Amino acid sequence: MPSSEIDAPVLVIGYGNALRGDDGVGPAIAEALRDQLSRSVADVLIVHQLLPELSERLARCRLAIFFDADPQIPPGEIRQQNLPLSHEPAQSIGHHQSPEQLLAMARELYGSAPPAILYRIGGKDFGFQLGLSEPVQNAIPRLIADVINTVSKAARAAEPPYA
Amino acid sequence: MIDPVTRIEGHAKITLKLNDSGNVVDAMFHVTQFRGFEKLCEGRPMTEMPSLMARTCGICPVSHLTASAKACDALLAVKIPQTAADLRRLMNLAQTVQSHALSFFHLSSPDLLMGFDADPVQRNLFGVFKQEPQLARDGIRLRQIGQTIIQILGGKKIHPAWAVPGGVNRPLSAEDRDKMLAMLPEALEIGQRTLQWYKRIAAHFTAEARTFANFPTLFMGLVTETGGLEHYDGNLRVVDSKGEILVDQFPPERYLELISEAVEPFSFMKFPYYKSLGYPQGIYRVGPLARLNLIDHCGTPIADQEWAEFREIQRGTVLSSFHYHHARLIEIIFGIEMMERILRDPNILDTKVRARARPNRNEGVGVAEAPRGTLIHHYRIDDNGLMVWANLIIATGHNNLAMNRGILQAAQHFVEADRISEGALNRVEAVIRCYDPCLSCATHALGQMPLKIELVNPTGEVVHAIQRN
Repeated sequence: MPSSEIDAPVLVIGYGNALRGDDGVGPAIAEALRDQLSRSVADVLIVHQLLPELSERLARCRLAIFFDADPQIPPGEIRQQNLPLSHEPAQSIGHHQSPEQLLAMARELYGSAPPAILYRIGGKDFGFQLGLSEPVQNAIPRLIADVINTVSKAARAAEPPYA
Repeated sequence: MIDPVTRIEGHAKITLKLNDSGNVVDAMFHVTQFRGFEKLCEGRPMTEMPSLMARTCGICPVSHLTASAKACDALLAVKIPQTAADLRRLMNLAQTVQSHALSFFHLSSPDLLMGFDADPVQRNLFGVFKQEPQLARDGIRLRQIGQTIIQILGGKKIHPAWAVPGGVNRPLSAEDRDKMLAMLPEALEIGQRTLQWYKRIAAHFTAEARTFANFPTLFMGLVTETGGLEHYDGNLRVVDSKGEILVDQFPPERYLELISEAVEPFSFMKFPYYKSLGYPQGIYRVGPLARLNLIDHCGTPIADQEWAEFREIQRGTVLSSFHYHHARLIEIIFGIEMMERILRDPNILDTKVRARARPNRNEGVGVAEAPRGTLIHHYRIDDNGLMVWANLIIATGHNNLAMNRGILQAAQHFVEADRISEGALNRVEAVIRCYDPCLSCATHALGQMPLKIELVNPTGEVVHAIQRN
């Protein structure tokens, strides 16, 4: 299986559709982190959906951080959860998976899965539009500060040359 | 009623009608989503069409990009540079490989590996991971390779805005060519390994092969000048169920002389038919099975050997849609071999990759073979180059009549009076899955594809319904 030249220890994945308003919050956060994190510390991916192909890259990192929008929680509210490896069968057997399913794939197919954190950000406007609603926009700076702190700790805990 | 149908692209439901004896006498495949790309493009500049039309689908955007760019070439009235045509062909083949891999490995292999009656809790992608991890890794890797080639050529994996009216927007570098070439031996190894696995396992599915849309129809697709397998250019050929050629080397821009479209009230997907046989007798199929049924040869060494063996399945043409899976795997091998041939041609690095012109015609047609079959984009513009009309005939649409009839055949065989068992449900779904339909394309709609099936008695009462999300 191929690997990139040097894998960063942290993998950041922001996913969602930037053409559907607040659904683009995952990509927006990832974009902001891309500017602030060293490439030797974190690989930042922006995707519409979580695809099975990502499982191979997940198996090669030490910490995975996912960002997704959630219409079920109040706009701008951030919920963080440490993800367990899923033992559930794939309910959607199409071409996109949940973070838990991807982690399970990484473990089953490539022998390891990293600890992972999912940040869900509450949204309210998911219509056909560009841009984030005000509460979602306002939530991003404090979340980024937290994530940079988390990533830095993970990088320090990793072996050189990452730290 | 089966609602929603699962492991296909889009939304649909199925109604099975029963007679007084409780036997299935009719089947309707309802495509319940709508998008309408033909309307939303009106008034836009024709130069925007390749990028805009690529948004029709997230699975086969390259097909729409390609057919749209070809339609725009026709509007410009230019012959594009050969290198540009070869580069477009290369990307179209990469997409065929990755799309076929998605269909086979991710959507259909759970049925083939665990059987159609297996517990659905096990019969899914995770079941494949546990039972055949190498098969799962192969599927992931093959898709990675196809998508990486698309990304190298077009700058991104999905919706690359690279094919433009008159050619492509940048030439290929030697470095990028070498990156692509380096991946192909592994891809070919995966393709061959998977085909051998499939041929071993297919012997266990004789009942399905006998009843999954196994009936005579016509077959349509593009062929090269010598009757070889063609995905980018060429002319149309139509053969009947005995393999007799009805139409050959027919200019694709005159498609309206061959086919027409009917509308049914129960579906947003139209029903194309072969004009001279009328509706609904003019049933025909497109896609991998059709392409392998109508050609004289593939045109690459390993695919040709496999094609010869494939045609031994049945005299004349291979009729059962179950064999779409087999055909898909041969096309993966063909695609990989052909990509290598294109990349090893020194002319692929030529920097002349775009013909520039203003619109010189008010009407243009672009046709290519998408993974699922013949894709037609037909545009009309005003004298300012603005779109006034568009018609898209999508591969899945061509197969609409055959899918409906195939569902009926499988339901009559597997559905018992007034009940739908899990195995029957899965088989009815699997008939549709053989075609790898993309309803997002066919209705130009949005979303995933769940399925719902209803059993309806002669008075119209729903006696049983089963639904999946």
